Amino acid sequence: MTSAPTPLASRLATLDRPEDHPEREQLILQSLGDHSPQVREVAIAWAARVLEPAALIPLVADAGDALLRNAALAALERQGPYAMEAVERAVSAPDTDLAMFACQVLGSIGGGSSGAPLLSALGRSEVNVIQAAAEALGCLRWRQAVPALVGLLEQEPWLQLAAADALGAIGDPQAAKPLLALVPDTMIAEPALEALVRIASPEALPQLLTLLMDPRNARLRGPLLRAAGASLGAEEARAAGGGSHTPASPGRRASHAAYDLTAVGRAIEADHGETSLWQFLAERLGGGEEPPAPPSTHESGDDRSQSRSGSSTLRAAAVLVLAGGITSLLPLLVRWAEERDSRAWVEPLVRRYPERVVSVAGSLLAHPDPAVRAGALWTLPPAAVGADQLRAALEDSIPAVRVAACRGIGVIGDSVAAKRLAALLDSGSAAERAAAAEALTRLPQESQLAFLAPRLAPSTDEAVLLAVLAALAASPCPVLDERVLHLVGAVTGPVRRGAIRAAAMIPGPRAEVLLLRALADRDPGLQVEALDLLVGRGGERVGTTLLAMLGIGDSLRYHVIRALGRLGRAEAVAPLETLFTSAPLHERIEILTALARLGGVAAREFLRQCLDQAQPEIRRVAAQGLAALAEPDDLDLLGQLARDRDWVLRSEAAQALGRLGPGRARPVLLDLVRDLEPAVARTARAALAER
Amino acid sequence: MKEATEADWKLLTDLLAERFGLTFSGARQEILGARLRPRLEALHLDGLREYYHYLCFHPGREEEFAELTRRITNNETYFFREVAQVDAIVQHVLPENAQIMRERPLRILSAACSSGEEPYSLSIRLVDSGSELMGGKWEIDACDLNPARLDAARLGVYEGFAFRNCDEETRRRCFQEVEPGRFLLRERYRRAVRFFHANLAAPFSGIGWGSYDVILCRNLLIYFAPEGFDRLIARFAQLLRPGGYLFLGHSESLFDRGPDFEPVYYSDCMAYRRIGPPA
Repeated sequence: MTSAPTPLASRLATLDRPEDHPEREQLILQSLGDHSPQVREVAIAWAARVLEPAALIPLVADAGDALLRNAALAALERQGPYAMEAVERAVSAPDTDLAMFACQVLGSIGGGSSGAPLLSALGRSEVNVIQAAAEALGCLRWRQAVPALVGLLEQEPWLQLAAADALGAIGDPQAAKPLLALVPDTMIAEPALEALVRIASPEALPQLLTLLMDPRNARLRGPLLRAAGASLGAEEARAAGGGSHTPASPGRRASHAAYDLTAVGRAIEADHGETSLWQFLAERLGGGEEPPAPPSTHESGDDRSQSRSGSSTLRAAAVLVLAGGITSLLPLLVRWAEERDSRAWVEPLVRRYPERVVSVAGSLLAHPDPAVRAGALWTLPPAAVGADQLRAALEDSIPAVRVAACRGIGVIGDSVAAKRLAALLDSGSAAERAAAAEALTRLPQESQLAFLAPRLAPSTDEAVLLAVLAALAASPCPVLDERVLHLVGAVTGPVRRGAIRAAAMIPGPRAEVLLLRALADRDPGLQVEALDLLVGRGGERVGTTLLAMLGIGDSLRYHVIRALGRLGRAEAVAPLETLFTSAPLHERIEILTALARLGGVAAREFLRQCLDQAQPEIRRVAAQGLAALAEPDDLDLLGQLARDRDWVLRSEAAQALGRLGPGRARPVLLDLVRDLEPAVARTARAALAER
Repeated sequence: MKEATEADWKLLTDLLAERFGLTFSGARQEILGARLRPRLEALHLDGLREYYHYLCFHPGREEEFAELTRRITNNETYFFREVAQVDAIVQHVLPENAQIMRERPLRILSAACSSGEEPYSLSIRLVDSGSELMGGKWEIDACDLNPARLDAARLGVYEGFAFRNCDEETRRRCFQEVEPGRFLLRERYRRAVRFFHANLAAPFSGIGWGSYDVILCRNLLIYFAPEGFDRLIARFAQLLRPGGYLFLGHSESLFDRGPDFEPVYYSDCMAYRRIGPPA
């Protein structure tokens, strides 16, 4: 007769402290196969913590209980580097499933030493094992596996797919040619191209362009374009000596005389038909959606996965348009620069091919679409546009165009336009006010005096005054310093705030005194801002004043304590320690954080003593400080933190050990890798990976 | 800004889970980070750990929690979202309760109502059903964590996005354009809805008044940790009278979640019926 299952809560409670259970291992093993995911999750944590990999691996080989097998795999993955040796041995096990799962676990653990056993697994006869080994080698990005993986490209489609994906993840240019051989006529043409996107090999460019130009490959245009764009980008970076923004010479590439990008551009320009490549590029540049690329088994948070997104197609199209000089598509490209977020990628790209855009500047600036006019003003060198064109753009009917023109006027310092800028400052939109004020700060002193000085008065419209002050906080004008300092005493809070920000940029004692006075401003938010600005300036007087302010028990003291830590003044240690005993908890926490910033023998000793306090958060902050200050000789202290009952302290230890990286810390980290608290385990795992 | 460690994230998200029942992992953690950045700047804090300390220990922590609710709640909603459930209430729950509705109002709770589109959609459908003409009474309570959204709900003024699933005829009939592009829900639809603030994750705070015949809680539980999920379902079980209905979002399920509810299938949606005596 089978007994009734123990209720969930009771099973969880039993697992709560399995170390007290007489048959601990048996309990954990049994719970790994529990039908409740909650129980299994707790059991997996305990299994990772207390069971040896040798006890878990036989469960992986047990095909009879999928729940138990999956739980054992999860526990092994969680043990990470601790389980690696045992799992590496399992890769050569005769049992096919065990070998396959072992490969998968090694891929997820990601240790470099697993490369050799995985490589040998590629020589096995079972397809499942080979596929898992190939995928794991991709996860490891193990370069030595490239020849063997290239060999798999000639095998059956499942292995081709795994190998292509792994080769893309590894990113070795050696793989480019064999991958290109799979395009366009095999089942895995698209995955092969996605791998080529990640490899970004300049050597693949000629063939990729040839394939892209061939109308028979229209269905592959998206991945072909991305792969060509990535290769072109890599070549430009190489030509520029590793990624600088040196303008590239258009047309024939020095490294690949076999093709001529200008000729490619001309060929694209020649056919604007409905199904043409030109039309395809136009749709991409116009924001047309493209189905997302298939997911990879090597998804990661780096820019490789980003490069497979729709936006990488847009960027690839942009590169091709610029490199090939496809003039008719330039309006669609530069209009992206009208929008601030896109400008971040369009501007540097266009700067690499300035002559392409400059040659058609007139038509871009006269384009009926205001977004094109604004985008052109953002991307064209202002000197190339010229003062006359920029002044004309200041009269454009669309505010976004006028804003872009303001920026150009500022760059070339055209004082003839100062009056118009002042008019925009007085009556334009918020964006125009900001742009005009910024431009005026860049004009010669006479213009600043004539147009900005009169507006730095308390009677000025507040929106205008704030725009000017914001511009001066970013770009000070010494001739206006006096007026700025005068405004620090303004009646309204926003003006005082704007003025202290601008005043903080002014060197000398007068500005400093005014900022110190602002510490007593009636607006608490402004006090804190003044404090931040003072700390940013530094200086003897600031430290002395702040130390004196420790005696004042108002809400600002919390910020003063923090500021003293940021100032890095060693003489603050003793007063902060003195204050600690009488301060409320939120200030005590900040005192410890400040002491950790200040460092030194006394601060470290104080933090050490705080580990004995009963208040958990005090112990945590003290441990955080000690971990941040730890040096290679502090292994004993970090070992003590690593054994603490509080997971936060163990996490701090793992963090510090990862930073210090001495070999002696490995056993401690291998223990922390199996911590019951996943955050600690992950930190320790990252620390081990840093070696 | 200091880069957040694993421990920083865990401390903060555990605190939010405890306080609001909401979980933040994966992409939601990134979104949370982006939403908190302006708060950290405003408070002059250097990183998530400092923010965690602020929320736990600073004298201004309650104000900050209030501010936080405005940032971490997902306020996306619109009129007649998942309308099949609203229709199921009108077509099935109302007739089933016709007798009861003549004796006392049918009591409906819209939990996590955001800016009111859900309870008001229901109100529109209930008014349109004509049950009042046959002596049927009903009332709707609606709660949310975010006080700013509740203020917007009480105001009853909506713009374009809220109407993306509302036909032009309904919009014209039920709303009055108060300024270009802004529409006020007419009073007859607003008056039956009573809004109140509630933290559904807080173990001891009240939820509404008395027991309910219908509870709608859609697209909230997907953000809850398993413990919070179970706790809230248990509270709904307490609040619903036997035979009452619980409507969840289409991706939320009570499968394998205990003995208090049984599924009820309608043509285009499903609900859960409270079984057994109230706990």
